[in-house]
Amino acid sequence: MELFGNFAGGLAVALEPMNLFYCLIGVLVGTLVGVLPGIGPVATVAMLLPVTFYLPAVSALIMLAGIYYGAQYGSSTTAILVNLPGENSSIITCLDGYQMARAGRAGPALAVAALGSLFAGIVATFFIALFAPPLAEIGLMFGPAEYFSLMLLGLVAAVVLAQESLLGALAMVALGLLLSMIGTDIDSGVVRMNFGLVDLNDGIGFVPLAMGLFAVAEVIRNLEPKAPVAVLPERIAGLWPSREDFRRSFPAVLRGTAIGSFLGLLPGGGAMLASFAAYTLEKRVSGEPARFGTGAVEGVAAPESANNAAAQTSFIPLLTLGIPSNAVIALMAGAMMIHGIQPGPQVMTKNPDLFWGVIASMLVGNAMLVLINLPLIGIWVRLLRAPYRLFYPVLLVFCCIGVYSLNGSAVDLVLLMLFGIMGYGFLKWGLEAAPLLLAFVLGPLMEENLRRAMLLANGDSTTFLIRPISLALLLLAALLLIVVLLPALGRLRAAAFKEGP
Amino acid sequence: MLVKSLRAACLAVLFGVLLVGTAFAQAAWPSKPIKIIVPWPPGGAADLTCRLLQVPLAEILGQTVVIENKSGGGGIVGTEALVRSPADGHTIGMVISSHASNMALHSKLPYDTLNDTKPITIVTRSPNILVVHPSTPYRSLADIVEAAKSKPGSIHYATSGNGTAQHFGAEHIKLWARIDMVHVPYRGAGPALNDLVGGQVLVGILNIASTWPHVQSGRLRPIAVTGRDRSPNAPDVPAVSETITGFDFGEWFALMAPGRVPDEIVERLYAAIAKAAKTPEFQARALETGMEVVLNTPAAFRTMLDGEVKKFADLVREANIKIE
Amino acid sequence: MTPKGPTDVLAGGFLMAVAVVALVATSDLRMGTAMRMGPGYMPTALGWILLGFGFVLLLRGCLRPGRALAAWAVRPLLLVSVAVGLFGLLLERLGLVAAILALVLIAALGGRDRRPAESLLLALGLAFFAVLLFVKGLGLAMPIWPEGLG
Repeated sequence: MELFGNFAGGLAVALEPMNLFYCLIGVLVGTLVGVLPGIGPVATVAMLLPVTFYLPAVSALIMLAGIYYGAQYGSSTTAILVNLPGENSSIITCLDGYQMARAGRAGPALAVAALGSLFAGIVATFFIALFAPPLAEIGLMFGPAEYFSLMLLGLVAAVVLAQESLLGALAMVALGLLLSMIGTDIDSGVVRMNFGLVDLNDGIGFVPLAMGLFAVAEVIRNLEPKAPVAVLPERIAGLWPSREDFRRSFPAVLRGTAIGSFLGLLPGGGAMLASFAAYTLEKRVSGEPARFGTGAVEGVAAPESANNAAAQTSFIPLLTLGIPSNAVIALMAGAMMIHGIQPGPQVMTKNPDLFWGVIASMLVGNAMLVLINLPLIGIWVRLLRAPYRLFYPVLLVFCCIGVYSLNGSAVDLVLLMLFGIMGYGFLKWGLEAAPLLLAFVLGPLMEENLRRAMLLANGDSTTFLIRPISLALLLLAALLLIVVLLPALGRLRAAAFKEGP
Repeated sequence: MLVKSLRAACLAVLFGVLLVGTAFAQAAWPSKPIKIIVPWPPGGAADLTCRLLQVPLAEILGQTVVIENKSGGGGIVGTEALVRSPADGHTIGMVISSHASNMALHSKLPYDTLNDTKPITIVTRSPNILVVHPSTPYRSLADIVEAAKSKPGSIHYATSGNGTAQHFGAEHIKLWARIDMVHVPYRGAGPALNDLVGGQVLVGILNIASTWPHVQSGRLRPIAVTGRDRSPNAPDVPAVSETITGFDFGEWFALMAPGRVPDEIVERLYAAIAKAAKTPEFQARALETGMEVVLNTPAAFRTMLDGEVKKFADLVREANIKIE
Repeated sequence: MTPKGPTDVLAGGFLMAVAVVALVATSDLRMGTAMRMGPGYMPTALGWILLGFGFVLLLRGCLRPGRALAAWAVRPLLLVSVAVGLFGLLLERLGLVAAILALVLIAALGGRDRRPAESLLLALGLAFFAVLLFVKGLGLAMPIWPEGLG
């Protein structure tokens, strides 16, 4: 079959010693920047662009792609170990991953994340190889109205994430949306709520917000006089997942991979949307939703496989349509153009070696990541056992440098401080940071597409109901909201009943 | 122990890959690394142009060249940082056409555009292109104008943002033809192309480099380029200037120094940048990305900048473009 | 009358305060119409929504028993925040080394068992490592020493 011929050709390209080498460098550098807070793949890929001029196009793209998914991988590591989501796609991993680490199960959490990602990576790669061209058209069917409805569905899902109070989660979603409005309004160019600071004209950065709410707040909490002396228990309950872990994770990984492969096709927050759509689904289908947020292994497996699958399939719009779906992939489009390859539908026919080589390299790269990271788990876990009085200053230094390096702005550090205080307050008040962060990421896309949809429909709001995809998404959102709101009281009662005497 | 050797290994990899050029101090200038402030995030055309210059410039100057992305406020944040940098010629900055239009759009800029920055040279220029979705009947600028006249407000056009040369170009067309079209700004060319190719919005003005592949694959129909002349990459596509005399709304990418840098250093910077941009590598890459290498002298750039400032100011006044 | 759910009252009050700040900050932005929404449309709407949620939360705290008030650990909160903020202030003025020393030493004061010698050693080691990795290795643009000394 032609397809297998193509794919085999690609694999041959990916397995050339030089390409293997650059793939390895890519995933190594990617893991490193993923683990280092703040220094994201965007900055790294930008820094490496001049180097890629001297490489063949295939090697360059293989390396850059390796950085991209390697960084996704590394940021899950810090999410699990220190409650620090380096990329927005690993916010969800913090919820159960960090709780697992606190319970001494960092090893199994990391292993499940690694294996889930590998599985998702392999499936998504074949998915791309088989269906890339028709899949690309799906992205084109999404106009502003569809995006708005999708974002709304996303926000409803964010409320479903709530562990404690629904009201609190709703308020956090509103707060997250409001925070995301700070900065220059894309539509009119007007600066909003910058409080006189030019530095806020581009809005609040995701990294200082996420780092403050999660990592800094967590450091402060761990320093409380009454907190347990060792933040992590002395005894680590094994590095490898138990059979029970595997049994619980496997279906979660399957569902996560399916959701991720699909949502990765959509430009915008693909990987992040995928990770929490997968989490929401797991919580819904689980017989014991109360376990989520307390260290449920499915809560790590599903979002991790979803975001990795999405990271892979987000290459489809670039390779088949020439439309980059996020900032890192936009940089890769730049790298292709530098090599005289116009990203777009011709890539597959004009540069089949490049197209199939890059896709096959994802298979190789994912395998490398697991091979590199499985042995590292032991080291990470040992790092966690360092006395906390030595551990947290190191964490703070890395956070601060990372935040500064994003924009070279001292204001970002002040924001980090403020959000750290705010995050600590939220911990004390039983408010949850995750819905806030999700709303923060979705907010600009949502506003932008709402306004654009209204402009294009000449102010006719029925546009959201007339368009079939948009209507389906809205109905799904409404259904989800009803499902959540109705049993909310019942669930509370049930929980009280279960824990009662 | 293992952790240490691991760190060492990672560092070695990074050193190997990232270390660009070695620094040897020679004369009084350049005596330390040169910093280029790019007021846009990594990955855009402005950033790409600087990164293409980075390596040859470092070789020519014998100093490391560092690129610092300081994005925000339509370029204002980065340019303000440039203005505040020491005027010793070790910090320069990239600006694009928004440097001239910001002056007209914002009543309170944190700097004086014409006096606080000193032109070095326009490195590259890249035209924008007016395209339509093939499902539309429009085949020329006249068709679009006619459609807009017969049904005012029915035409929406996409650009990669507010206050861009694309936006201004469209406003100029509107003013010239006395028509109304609704501006639909996007966050960069990528999302705009997605909606254009998908037929969600039917008319767009975007940079030619990202748009051309879609024209070639037949998913978009070209109408006209917005540069002064036809583009060498697309000789069959007419220029808007063939209909509207003097129409020139291409994008340009230029380097500036802080206002008080001595002219002598500016000249040396110009010479070095021109040499770097004349290397075959840079020329080839620029051509491939649809850029035209310009490299006009500081004096010529100054004259051109004055003209652009006036052009944007007139347009803002006449078309009543407002950024509140 | 003492509220039954004091945390909810505090949280609700905080959210309402944020909402009021946002509403004031966006009051001079154009609202626009539903077809052409102005820059003020969404923020104002969200400000009111947040105000509403905050109020309901506050009301719930007054009427329904909720979480008891948890004690805030003021010392680590204060010292960690100050350390982070100070890092920002010092970095551009005194360079990376001084900023790291300040950050580590002040943050160490917020910990439980304080060992000055150990913290100093850690700070110096971190400063060295950070200069090597971030400035020399990754080429991040930040001063190492105070202006004029480097």
